[in-house]
Amino acid sequence: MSRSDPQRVHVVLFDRRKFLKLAAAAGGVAAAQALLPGCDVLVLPEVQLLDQLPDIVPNEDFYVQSAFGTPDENPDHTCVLVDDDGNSLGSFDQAFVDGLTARVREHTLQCIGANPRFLFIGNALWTGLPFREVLDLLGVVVPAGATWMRITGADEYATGLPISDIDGTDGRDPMWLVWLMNGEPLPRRHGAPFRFLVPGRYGTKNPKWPTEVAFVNEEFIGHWESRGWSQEATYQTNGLILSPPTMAEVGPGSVRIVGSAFSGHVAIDDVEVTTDGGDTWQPAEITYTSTDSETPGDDTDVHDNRHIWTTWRYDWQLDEPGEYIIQIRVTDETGHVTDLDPAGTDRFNGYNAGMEIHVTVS
Amino acid sequence: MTRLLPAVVLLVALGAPASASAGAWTKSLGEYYTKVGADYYVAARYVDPTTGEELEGLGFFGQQYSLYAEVGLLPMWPLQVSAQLPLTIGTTSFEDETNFEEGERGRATGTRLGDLRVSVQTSILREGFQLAPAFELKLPLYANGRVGREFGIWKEAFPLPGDGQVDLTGWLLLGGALPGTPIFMQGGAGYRHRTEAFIGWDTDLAFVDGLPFTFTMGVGGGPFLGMLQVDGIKNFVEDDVTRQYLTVGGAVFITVFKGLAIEARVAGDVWADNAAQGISFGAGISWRMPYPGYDPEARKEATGEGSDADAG
Repeated sequence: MSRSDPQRVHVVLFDRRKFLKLAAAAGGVAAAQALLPGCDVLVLPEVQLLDQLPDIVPNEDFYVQSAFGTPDENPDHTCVLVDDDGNSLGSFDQAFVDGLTARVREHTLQCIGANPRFLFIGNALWTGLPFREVLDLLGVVVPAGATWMRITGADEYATGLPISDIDGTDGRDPMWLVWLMNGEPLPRRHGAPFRFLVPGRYGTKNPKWPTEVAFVNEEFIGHWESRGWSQEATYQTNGLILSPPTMAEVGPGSVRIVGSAFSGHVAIDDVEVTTDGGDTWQPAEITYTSTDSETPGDDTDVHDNRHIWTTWRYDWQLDEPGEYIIQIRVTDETGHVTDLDPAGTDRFNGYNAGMEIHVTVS
Repeated sequence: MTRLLPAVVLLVALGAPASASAGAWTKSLGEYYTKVGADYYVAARYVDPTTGEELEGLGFFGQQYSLYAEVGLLPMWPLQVSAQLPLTIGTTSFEDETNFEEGERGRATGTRLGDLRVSVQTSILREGFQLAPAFELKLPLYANGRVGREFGIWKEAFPLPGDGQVDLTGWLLLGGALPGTPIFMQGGAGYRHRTEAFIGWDTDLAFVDGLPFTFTMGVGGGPFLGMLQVDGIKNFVEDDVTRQYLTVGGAVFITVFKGLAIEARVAGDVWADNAAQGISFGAGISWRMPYPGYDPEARKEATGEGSDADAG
């Protein structure tokens, strides 16, 4: 997600020891010895500190991730439904969805590439209908032999979903077609005029700007999936620290740590933090869960913890100058506790660890 | 996926020639060419080779300072060794919509020795038309696995000095002057074998072999020499990680005193795949022997070399 309502903290840092060592060894053999291991310098601008994450991320702050960028506006955008032979079964457009009586679904999206470097997660209120209901209203019957959907967008991004996702797989909610975001027309960068939400699956499986849904008889391997990213793309339980960023340099006093916890397929039970390398753990204060949701609408399923993020915060007292590390772990309702070490994460299956940050008190 | 800062992407040496090859004219004993050079490379566009995704909000500035030498080894047969030792300084500037205000950027700079390139070259023909085979070794003098490792999640923001792999390249170089004109042309093509032997980097990356090529057309007049140059590499197999490119540029070579010359060049990537696309420019000071007007006999007289006194 992006930041709003920030505190500001000055962050400019580099590896001073190496830099000074290099500068001191400016000639001859000493310089060569200093250079062989190399010298790295990092300079960051002032970064923002958050007091708390918003429950619902404003549209302008919601993360954007697309394979090929945002396609140009097209007032005639239409999505056609075809069978395995390419025969049209029906179609819908903006005018059609605008005429439907829609419901609101609170739903968190996370990018499969999200990790401690790229904190791509956001929670929003989406207005639309389960795709099954849209098909029924169109009078479209999924062909009997179809096992997969090949969904192609206006940006030519394509992904595959099993037919069973229409009604929900493995206890997940059914997939939705949505056309409003936080009560406003879906922004173009988020898929206007409409996009799919597929509960339990990372953003790669939530295609935007659909122009064709093909009900095909064989598994379809999509754009990212053909490049090694997970075909299942099932959310992994993970925790992220969204503020402050690691390497932040702060003054002495209380530092507020805020972040998210998300599973996408089971509920989150606890978020804990450690400041002593895991010897002791303290609970973080949960600031938002699905039970806090005040989502309007008549679909109680949309309040399901599985599909809505948990946000948390922890006030950390740092009085002495020095370097500190804080780590978090998340426990989901199955009892699974996230690993401390993100190195164990298989990048292509999604981030599945907790997170740590380094903070310097100056 | 996502705007991951790429793992193999920002190679400082991008703007530098991909070969230590000296050209088709092979030197014999007593002949040499040395150069101290500075090259700079700027790129505003990059495609992550691991995903094919174009990364936005990422800039790159590379500096390379290098020592280069060609030395003839044998008196009776042209055999030459050339070597290039670069120091690389690469800087990425990057946006971070999560942590920075809009328009603000972070900068990550890495300084390392680059790829040592050593080439051995001989001649098959050297009367008028030149035909010279050469063999080149690229040896990384850095450890990509260490780059930025002390900076946690910002590690990936640091540019890598190179792809970290030992390469072997065979070249066949051709060259000749147009009779009765000050125009010369030289070119060559080769086979670059990626050994998959990485130094200082535990990675699963697998690069593919390719066809490097080079062509130069030059014209001389007095102390001036101007050249148009085309360089590139085309891979034999298309993949998502191995760099390939086509660069077009020009260079000038101005002799200022005997063998002392000032050199300058500029080039642009007209096509690049799995790599940044940008422009490079550079300058250098070189010394060569023999130089135009050099008279070895006169030198012997002046220094007493080869005289009877030497025998005494």
